[in-house]
Amino acid sequence: MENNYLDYAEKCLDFAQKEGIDHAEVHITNARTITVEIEKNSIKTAKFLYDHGIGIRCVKNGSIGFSFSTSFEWDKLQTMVLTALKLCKTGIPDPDFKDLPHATSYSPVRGMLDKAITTIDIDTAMDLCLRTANSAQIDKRISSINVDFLCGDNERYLLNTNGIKATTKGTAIKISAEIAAKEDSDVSSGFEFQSSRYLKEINPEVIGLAAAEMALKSLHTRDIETGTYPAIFHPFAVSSLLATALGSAVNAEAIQYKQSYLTDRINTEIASDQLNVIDNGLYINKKGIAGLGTSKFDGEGVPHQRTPLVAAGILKNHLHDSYTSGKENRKSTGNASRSSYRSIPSISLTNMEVLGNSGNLDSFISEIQKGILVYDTGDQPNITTGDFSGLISLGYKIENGAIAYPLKNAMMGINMLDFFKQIYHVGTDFRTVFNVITPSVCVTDLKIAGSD
Amino acid sequence: MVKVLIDFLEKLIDQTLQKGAEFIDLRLDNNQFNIISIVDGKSRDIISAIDKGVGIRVFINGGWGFSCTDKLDKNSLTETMDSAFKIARKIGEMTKINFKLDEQPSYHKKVDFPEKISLLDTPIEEKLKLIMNIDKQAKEFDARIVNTNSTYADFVGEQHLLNSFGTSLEMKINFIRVASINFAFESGVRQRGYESIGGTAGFELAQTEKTQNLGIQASQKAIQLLKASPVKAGKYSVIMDPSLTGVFTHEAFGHACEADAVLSGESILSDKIGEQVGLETVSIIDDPTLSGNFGYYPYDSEGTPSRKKNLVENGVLKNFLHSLETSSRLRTAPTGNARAQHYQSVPIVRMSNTYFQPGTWKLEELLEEVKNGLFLEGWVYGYTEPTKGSFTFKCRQAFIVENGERKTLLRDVGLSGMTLEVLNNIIGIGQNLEFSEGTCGKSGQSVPVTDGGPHVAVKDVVVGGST
Repeated sequence: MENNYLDYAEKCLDFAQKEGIDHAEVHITNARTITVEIEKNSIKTAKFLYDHGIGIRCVKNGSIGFSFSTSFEWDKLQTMVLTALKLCKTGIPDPDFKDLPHATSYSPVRGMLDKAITTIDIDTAMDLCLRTANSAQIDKRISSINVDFLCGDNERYLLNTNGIKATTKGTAIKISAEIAAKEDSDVSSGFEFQSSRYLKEINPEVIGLAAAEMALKSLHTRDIETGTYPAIFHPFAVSSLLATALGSAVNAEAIQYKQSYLTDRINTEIASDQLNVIDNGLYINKKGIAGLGTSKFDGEGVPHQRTPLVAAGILKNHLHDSYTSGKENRKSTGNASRSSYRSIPSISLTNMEVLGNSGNLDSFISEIQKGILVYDTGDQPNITTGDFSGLISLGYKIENGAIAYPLKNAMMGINMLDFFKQIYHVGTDFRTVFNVITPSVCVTDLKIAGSD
Repeated sequence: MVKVLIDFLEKLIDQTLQKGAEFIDLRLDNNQFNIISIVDGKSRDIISAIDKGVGIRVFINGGWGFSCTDKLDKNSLTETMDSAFKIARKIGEMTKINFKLDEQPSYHKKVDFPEKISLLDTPIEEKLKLIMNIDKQAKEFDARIVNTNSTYADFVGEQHLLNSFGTSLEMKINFIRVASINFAFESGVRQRGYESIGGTAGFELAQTEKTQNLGIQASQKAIQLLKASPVKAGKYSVIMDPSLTGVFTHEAFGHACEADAVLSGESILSDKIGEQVGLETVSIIDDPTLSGNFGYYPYDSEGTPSRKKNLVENGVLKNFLHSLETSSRLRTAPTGNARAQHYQSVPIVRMSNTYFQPGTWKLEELLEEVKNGLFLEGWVYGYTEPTKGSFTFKCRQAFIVENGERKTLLRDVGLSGMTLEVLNNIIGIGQNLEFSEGTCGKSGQSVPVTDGGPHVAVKDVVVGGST
């Protein structure tokens, strides 16, 4: 099919060019996905999804039209191209649009494709799920076990009228467990997950056990007194916080449109010198396996790269695609992201690496007399103001250098600029949380609103 | 063409039943949509596409298999059916949750969603003109508006639904949604204002005065927030405005009424049917039959006719929301709440138009009763932890209430609490019922919904802030 896809793409580009556009770009994806769901320790549903299609962006005077098709029949492809053409000619000219990326060479990326995943069958998938669920049954108080499994492979083809012709292929797998525990009338929940491009990196027994232990450890929550506490953020909490507070806030579009609280702060100190963060589109882990956000090129065919975001507390770079970089007459950082043929590119993180110094969760806990461990939050900072207030969905009170009890209904609040400046430890206990690789992080003063 | 395809699919269903399938359903979608994004007066992207395909689901002995394809030739359809059948058979052998699906009546109908001005016949130029005008007004509203983002989106779907009960439905679905997000900046302070409107309607919804003024309203909200202060964390008596009451009703309570959560042990309401879960003044309703609302549908994605349900009546929990599976397993009737985003997704239990029934209090009376507390307006996002029964919401803005009057404006107010505690801590329920549209995400699927309610006053709510 590979040659066919390239032929289709070239045919569409030729056709678009003959119709008098300035630029055109074709994006083809072909994905196979298996999902399995476990409810209460029993297999429930399994799904096989095959999804392939072709999308085209046409540009005229900076105005962009986009259409896609799931059919590769020539009359359907012609309709798709003509739709995108009509849209770009209807739109408003945009002098800020400079060009689509030009042909370039890509460095090879290792560890993207695991044969074991491309050939995985429904039996293996179900077995992995059941092993995860079984390993969670460690105590009578475990009242509910839900497991989600997803794996698949995806190939991408990106071609444009500036000579870009790029292809890549990758695999991914993710298993997550959500466990509830019950004792008397008290209910708690715990979760754990692993994700990788390679099957061998996934350990279903560890996932089930860790989620169950977390649920048991979170029983019998207690109120906490409203006040200010030193706080340790577990890698789960750091990843969800920083993906927005840094990832979304250094998006060049948000900066140029003045939507971000980090606008006008480039090359200034935004954090304590402990903080070093990189966007790394070429991230390979110690075992030679590529990150989930790793790829040779981005959603516009620009080579992925390593872009320092924060170095010793100084904000170093914004994340660009070809539009925002064209506006500033600079090179794109290769952060145009695109999930499938259905979507247009948008700026986002590739892999975010938070670099560590020393220490880990245990050593940080042992240093604190009275403080908080924030394990997880579903909340996100407001990237316009930098304000963050959120529920500690899983967190613990620390007393005399040890975990004392799980927290009930506690809210935390801080402005992200204060959060960054207050960072006094960045550990070396790295965890990969999807496309974020981060250790635990400590801050000096976190406002907590408890129910007491 | 479609007729030939439907005939073939019906035959395929019969053949697969003979092989041992207990139930089969499939959805054939042909969807067209347009999205126009305007940023600072320029069309950033205009998207238009057709999305076609079939999703097939097979049920055997408690196991579900699902497979889908965008290739509509006979070979691909046969393969897709076969793949779903094989998965179902495999899971049916392995699963410990064995049950039969209750037989349901079959329905044969063609239903069109309300539409006065055809979305398909309205030229893209006219849609562009409309959204450009909204963006222009947003920008011109105030010199402190530094960035405007306006989006027009519409969707027209022809959907066929077949199942092995003999149902054959044809639905013409249409939605429209317009949104404006604008940013204001003044002396170091940056704020965002958001406004949107949407419904199951044609282009006539875009021509209403409310839609035309969307950009101005969003800009007004951003400007207003420039003067807002952060809130002091603590416990407050609060008044939720109708949009926040709606989100609370949907997120904190509605999700716990979804019977799949009940079955998987993830709902705090699992064993509470027939029990008092809130004060006697509390009634909560889910009603997909409200035509024109964003969460309207006449039949759900499994072919069950939709109907109005009282989830809570006078404080007593009356009903859960069901699919064919959950109603069969819990020995009750399906409620018409199984919805799938499109042919690539399986139907799961969802809400539709969910609202908190209005009471008797005037807003002034609520303010007088609360006396000192917070008046919370709008929402940015919200989520819940269903097993614990806790919720968290981020409000757009709030006012300090002093002596029964709204005073200082506050920003970035987050509140959290336990759902059932809130239903028992209600001080008063307002008379006004207002709806706002949104999309609800669950298991990776997003569907249009409406949330609604009146002003509701509640005591002892934990509010977090950054001071």
